[in-house]
Amino acid sequence: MGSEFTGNSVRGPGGLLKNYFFPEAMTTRLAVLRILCVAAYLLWFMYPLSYDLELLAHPGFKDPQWLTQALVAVFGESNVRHPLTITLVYDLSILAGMLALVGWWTRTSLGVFTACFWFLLAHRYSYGEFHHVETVFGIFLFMLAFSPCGDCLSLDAWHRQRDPRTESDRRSWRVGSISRMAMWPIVTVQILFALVYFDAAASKMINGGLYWFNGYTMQDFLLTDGYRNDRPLGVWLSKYREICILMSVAAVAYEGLFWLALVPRLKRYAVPMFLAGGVMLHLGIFFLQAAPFFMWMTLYGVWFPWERLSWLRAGQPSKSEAAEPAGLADLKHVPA
Amino acid sequence: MEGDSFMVGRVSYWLPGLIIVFVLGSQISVSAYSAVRKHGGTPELVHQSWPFLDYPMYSRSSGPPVQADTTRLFAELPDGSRVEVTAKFIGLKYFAWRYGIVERLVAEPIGPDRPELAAKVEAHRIEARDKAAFRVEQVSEQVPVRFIVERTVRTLQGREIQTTTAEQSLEMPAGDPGELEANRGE
Repeated sequence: MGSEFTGNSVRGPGGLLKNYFFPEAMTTRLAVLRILCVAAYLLWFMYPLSYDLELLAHPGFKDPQWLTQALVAVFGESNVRHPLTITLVYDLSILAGMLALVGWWTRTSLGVFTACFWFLLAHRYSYGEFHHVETVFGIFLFMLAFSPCGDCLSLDAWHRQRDPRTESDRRSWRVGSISRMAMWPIVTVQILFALVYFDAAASKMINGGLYWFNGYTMQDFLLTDGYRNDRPLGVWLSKYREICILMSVAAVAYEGLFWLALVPRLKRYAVPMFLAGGVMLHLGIFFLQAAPFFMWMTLYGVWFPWERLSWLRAGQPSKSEAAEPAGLADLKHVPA
Repeated sequence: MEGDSFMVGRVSYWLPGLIIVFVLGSQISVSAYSAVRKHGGTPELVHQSWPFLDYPMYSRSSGPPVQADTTRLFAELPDGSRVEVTAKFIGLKYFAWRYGIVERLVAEPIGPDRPELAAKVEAHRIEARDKAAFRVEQVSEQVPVRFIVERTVRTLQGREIQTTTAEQSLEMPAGDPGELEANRGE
């Protein structure tokens, strides 16, 4: 699961970290992820405007998020909790999202889109409840806005290709450049995934201990969520303690060992295994307990070598131009 | 690839570096703090660190008997009909509805030896009641006469599930429509 990295590595102080977060790589993967994430949000994940407007029926915020508190301090609660404000931000998020999707003024539009995303999310979660599913996705959008994700597969790139003033850069709009800025959001979110999964496993061991594997715990979760969220499959499965013990072990093993997908020597085997396991885990959680972690599954795209798709390879530098596609194994070039 | 036409020239690492340190540093700090304190996602931590969160969901363990406790809230109208007040009906997510409305409605009264806490519990009860009543009145155009909390406990015994149901009710204050009105603006 490597990518088209070149072999050039930075030497000297900080070289190890620079080669880890800033290897030379195609910007194609960033561009595909921009399209994937924005399209998934606009078409699938976005709440209807009516949901956000209905929240205004509450007399006021309850345990507002710090971002909401900051906005209230600047603009006043009556302005932040105003139907016009919510509607404008919502519409702006759609407009900016569509521009980011097609890659017109990509960084700016993605920045505006991300700001709207966080505003709406903070508002939504300022009424006494919050959830975890959107945070990693939002953090990735934030990082994308600072990356060259519009370098290809964008109107910006198409315009640049046709612009006679960019004579020195006549590559196809489909083909990304090689940049040291192409991987840092991807590597960072990969590490973030490993951290949050490890946190989840550690929480189970700290709060639940070894009793967490006793089967009764999983039966309890499945039975409760099965009835609460109308998941008959979860209710049915809760009757089989032996299966619940296996599920408990598999869940903690998956979460606790996910960091193996970051180890250069193991990536080739660990990444496909953990991604397949993750899809099964989150689909299982959805069908048995109704917890929708589809944003996380979308973000699994950060592990997919999109730049290897044949349609995106036309015009890329040949393998002889680029060094071995070693991915993070490039660390071996770093002097000890 | 230096000099290659595809290669972006000078690169500046400071801004992405700062973002990487901020993102990963924040997440590690929150996770470590949560692990050391066994904090478990309390509002205190969440509202300081959001969107960098700990992940303690489903981390408690339990033994037999395996039980599922589900709760439904109904509003009884003057004509005797019942309206189910779900989380969606009231415009809240599940846990905000459960702990912000239902549990407050049926919270055990506190004894006179702790007057401040007793006053707080009663204030929460009135707030929850009026919030639910306001929504019911919006939808049904009738002020409910009482709220009924139906608790169903399902216990797993072998492969069988046994069900028991109990109800608690909370009467609305009679003859004082102004009280509800007064609480709407709070």
